[in-house]
Amino acid sequence: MLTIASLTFKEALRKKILLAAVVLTLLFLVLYGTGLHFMANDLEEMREHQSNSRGGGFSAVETELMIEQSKRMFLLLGIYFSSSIVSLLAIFSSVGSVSAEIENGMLHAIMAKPIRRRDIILGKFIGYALMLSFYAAILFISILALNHYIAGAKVPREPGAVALFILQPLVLLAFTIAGSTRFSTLANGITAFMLYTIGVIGGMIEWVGVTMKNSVLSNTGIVTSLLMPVDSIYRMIVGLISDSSGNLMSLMGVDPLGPFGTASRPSIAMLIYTFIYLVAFIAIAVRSFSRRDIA
Amino acid sequence: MIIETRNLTKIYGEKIGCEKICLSVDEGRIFGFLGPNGAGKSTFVKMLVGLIKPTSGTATLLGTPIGDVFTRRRVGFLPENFRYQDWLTGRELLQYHAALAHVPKEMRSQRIGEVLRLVKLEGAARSKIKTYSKGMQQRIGIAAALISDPDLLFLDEPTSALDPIGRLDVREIIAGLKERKKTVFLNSHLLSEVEMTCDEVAIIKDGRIIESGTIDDLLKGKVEVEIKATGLNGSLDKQISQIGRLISDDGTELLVELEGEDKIPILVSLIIRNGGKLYNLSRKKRTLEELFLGVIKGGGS
Ligand SMILES: Nc1ncnc2c1ncn2[C@@H]1O[C@H](COP(=O)(O)OP(=O)(O)O)[C@@H](O)[C@H]1O
Ligand SMILES: [Mg+2]
Repeated sequence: MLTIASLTFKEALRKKILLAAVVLTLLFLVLYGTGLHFMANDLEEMREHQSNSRGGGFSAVETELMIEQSKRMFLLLGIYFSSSIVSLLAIFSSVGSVSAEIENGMLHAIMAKPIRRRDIILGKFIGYALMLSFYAAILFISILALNHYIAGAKVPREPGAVALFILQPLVLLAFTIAGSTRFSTLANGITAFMLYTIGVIGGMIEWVGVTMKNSVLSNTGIVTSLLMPVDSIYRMIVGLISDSSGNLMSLMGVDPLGPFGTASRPSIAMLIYTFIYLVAFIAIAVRSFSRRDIA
Repeated sequence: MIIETRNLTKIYGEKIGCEKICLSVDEGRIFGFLGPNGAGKSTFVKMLVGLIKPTSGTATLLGTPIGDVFTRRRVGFLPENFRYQDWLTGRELLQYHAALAHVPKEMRSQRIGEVLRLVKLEGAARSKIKTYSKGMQQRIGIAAALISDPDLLFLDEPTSALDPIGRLDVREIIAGLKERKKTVFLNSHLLSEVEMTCDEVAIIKDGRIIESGTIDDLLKGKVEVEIKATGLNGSLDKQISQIGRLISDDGTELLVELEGEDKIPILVSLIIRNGGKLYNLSRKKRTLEELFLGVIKGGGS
């Protein structure tokens, strides 16, 4: 199993999709850093302006609040987009992990070796999971670092948030590998991408539903997050970060961050559900791979 | 028995892969599984090495039922359509296969050296597999199959990508394995290859075995003789039909199929007794090719 894992890990590092993701990520980080820089300047000007023109416009408290809020908005935006990057990387790096290797004959010689099919799947999962975990951790820490050094934002030192951030691609990985044991690479890619998108849109629908107090919409969101819990992990991360930075706005019961910022309390139930989801899809992958013909 | 199958059958949906195959292969034998493309050879081997599950029937390898993971330490397999991780070098690929095959760590590099020498790839061991020619890829595949020094080796069309010299090399590798009492199961659609390397053959067509046995056995049995004689009279024909069959007769040259070798002297005495003058009698060697073509065309006998 570890042999397969290490080979898969090395293989994952060589994939063109990873190179594409790295380039995209660097581009994103540069743009994001630039944006942060200008935002920080603007906010600084706003603060000076406020302290010079006493009595006009906003009060000092209001200004501080707005500055605080803008910084948070930018931090969440960064986390939101980097979540999408690692999620898509998880899908597209592992989309053919089984199917493509059966199609091109790569698995044939391996299957006749003294190795259980279960171990082949677990090995593949571990290999990809290692790559994705490193990637996600580095990306998440980069986002926090940029916010800290460029915008001087108070960034939460919250290991739980990093762990949840890493959990996102792992959930998608389990789902995609399971699909890959049964469907063609193309069909699996489409399915996984669709489900991921549904999860994201479902999260937004839920936000609309909660905001408008429409229970049909918010229930729809709950259903989609059960189908694909990645988006709700993102919301738990937002929740964790908001808690630890003692957000004034949320104390005031206002949540003006839009659909990117619907913070949910990191609910233990949802966390447990996500773990069950992850393990269940690994189990499905093992079972389905053990039963199929490698023809 | 190293391989034993009973009514092993694979049906793909409605299509027959192979049907009711009963075979047994003894230790140290080189067994040829011969048949045209699409006959079901690969299907059969894939069931034995555990890639696909039989629809019905049973089989054992090295005394244990197929599917036993532990037994696979003693089994090697060269797939028909394969690709290897072509971003690895030849040596790296073999290290990977050695680890998968549970070759003890301290023996790996020695074993890798041995198989590289065997397939004549020592010079290319440090190059990436994607730079290999088709023939070299086939060789590295054979090396990977042999990495654990298996007692039983399955080769599915091992020479399909090889030139004549490469084919000769494969024959030598197989001969070397035979000397060491290893068992080899060779799938091939090439008759000459089976004829030159194997002790036993089974001929398969449309998923069913139609002939099997040692090559000698298959070629034994009926013999054809060509006769040149004069002065033969008509009653000879009738007498020949008791020991065989007259295939052609143009007065002085006859072609006769006899039921066995032992009928040749009888035929000669018949000719003499009938007042014929025998100028020449030659036994036509029945080749495996004729047998193969006869079987394939006739659809069984
Ligand atoms: N995965 C598959 N699905 C459906 N039919 C198959 C599959 N693999 C092989 N077959 C069919 O089974 C028969 C035997 O194929 P195969 O075992 O590959 O023959 P051979 O190796 O002798 O050329 C063929 O008719 C082939 O079309
Ligand atoms: Mg074949």
